[in-house]
Amino acid sequence: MSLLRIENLTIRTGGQALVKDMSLVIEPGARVGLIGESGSGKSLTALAAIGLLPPGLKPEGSILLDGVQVIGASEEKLKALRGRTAAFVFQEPLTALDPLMKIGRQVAEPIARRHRRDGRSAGRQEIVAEVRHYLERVALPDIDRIMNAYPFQISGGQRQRVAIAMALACRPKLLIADEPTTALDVTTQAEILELLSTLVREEGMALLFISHDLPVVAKVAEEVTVLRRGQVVEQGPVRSVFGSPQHEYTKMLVDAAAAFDRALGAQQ
Amino acid sequence: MTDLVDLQAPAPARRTPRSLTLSVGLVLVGLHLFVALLTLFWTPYDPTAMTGGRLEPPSWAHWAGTDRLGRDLFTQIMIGSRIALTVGAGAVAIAAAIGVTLGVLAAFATRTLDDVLAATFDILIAFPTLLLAMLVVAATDTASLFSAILALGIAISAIVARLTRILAKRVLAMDYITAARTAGSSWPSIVFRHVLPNIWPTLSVNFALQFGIAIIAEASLSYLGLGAPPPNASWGRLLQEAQGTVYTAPFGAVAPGIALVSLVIGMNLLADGLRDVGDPTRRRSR
Ligand SMILES: Nc1ncnc2c1ncn2[C@@H]1O[C@H](COP(=O)(O)OP(=O)(O)OP(=O)(O)O)[C@@H](O)[C@H]1O
Ligand SMILES: [Mg+2]
Repeated sequence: MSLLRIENLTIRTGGQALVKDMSLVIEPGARVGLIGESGSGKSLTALAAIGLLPPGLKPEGSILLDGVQVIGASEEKLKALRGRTAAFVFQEPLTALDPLMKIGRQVAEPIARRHRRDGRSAGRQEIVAEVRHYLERVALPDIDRIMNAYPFQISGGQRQRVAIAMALACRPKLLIADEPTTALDVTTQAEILELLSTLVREEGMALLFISHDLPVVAKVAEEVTVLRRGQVVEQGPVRSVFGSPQHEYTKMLVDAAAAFDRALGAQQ
Repeated sequence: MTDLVDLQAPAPARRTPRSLTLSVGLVLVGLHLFVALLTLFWTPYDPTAMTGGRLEPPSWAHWAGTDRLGRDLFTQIMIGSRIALTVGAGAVAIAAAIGVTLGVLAAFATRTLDDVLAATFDILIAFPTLLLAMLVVAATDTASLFSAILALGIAISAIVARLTRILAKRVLAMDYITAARTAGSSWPSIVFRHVLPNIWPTLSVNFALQFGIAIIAEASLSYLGLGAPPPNASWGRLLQEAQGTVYTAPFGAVAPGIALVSLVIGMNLLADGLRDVGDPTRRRSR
């Protein structure tokens, strides 16, 4: 059974279709990239996958997440699905963390919730130990300080690591990362990408990686879906899609990336 | 924005007045609170007893003089502190209970319900607080301390509700709420863990401001004879009683006036000072 199977998804607001007839399949453990320019519907697709579209947006088609039909599902059913099946990492690490809550407590929240769901009450000690475990997992230094810090007291890269730790702490089958490195500088970006790839592989999670940046997607994903104005223009293994792009838009993306590489090469 | 400013310049020039604001506010409000508690056990004179001549000017025996029945004014002003604080605290508590609940509800509600609630808040706010309070007092038949508190609480709750709705909506639009929802958080957990703590700093400042407004409004109600009836010595009633003799015995109006103004200013300064306390991003810079 596929972990996520989106078929003929159309998202409408008023008369306008923001996403049109989109299909996407993610197998357990697969790493899939979703690439497209700003406003092409990447985030909406990801939110639709867990039934969290903003009010006023209507999905049509079929979305099977871990075998459950998301479209039309009750909030109760979706809540049970969220977190344990799919967890999110967002673009802007500052706004993705509650500014008034210490890091330790924020990471503890998904852990405590997971234990509650599994029907066992975990003691404070146990949860703190798990918080440390996940903060270590994302290679944060100085964990004692960070656990007691507020989000504004740590760096952007560290915040994104915390956000990843929070997503991991849900132990999801699918990690959805929506442009998780866009707000970071190049070095930090590379570190976070490396971290994500490693973690996903080690924890056996599937990854849906959203970006508008071709080299970034090429780095972490095995398969890629190219989205343009709400429609899939190309889909397949990263090698073949980026190796011999068929659609104009994909060609343009590849050319732009190649031009950048050449410019870099010429400089050295 | 303020974050940036704080980061770039430690701004000692700004720090001093800010903490001074909080201290002066605390001293003024603390003084009134002390007096209010004191009156529960002791007052210089019996507030209803004739203890001197009529309309005496301030003296050692009567610090604020006496009223037209020869009762000690200072005693009545002290009791007025208790009434003002009771009314302020009661009204703000009622306003907070109703306003925060409705505001959060509106923020979470569907489009239609939200629109209805928002329109209701706006209409209630457009009604002058005093007029609304007068209607409630009229509806409860007899003017009592409680009816005044209830009236002001209801009138202010619309303001609190509107503010809460706006603040909560802003928080709900943040990524960390979506993040919590994607991870399977329930609505109550989102409200209590994320929304309320994040709107609290702004709300508490507003509560302190509304406290001051409630005190003035209560004085106005009492002045109009719609507040706490005698023997409750509300400052508003003292002012009203002193009105007829304001030229011959001005201190009868000046003294309760000073009491009223000092408490309201104290509350406003406290509100200003509070702004920083609930916000760790600001606390850092002090
Ligand atoms: N709540 C909403 N109501 C109406 N339209 C919306 C809403 N949210 C997004 N849209 C529109 O849907 C389209 C797709 O938005 P989406 O956020 O999925 O883009 P994206 O591909 O993630 O872009 P970016 O790379 O900038 O994040 C955009 O044109 C956007 O304006
Ligand atoms: Mg997006």
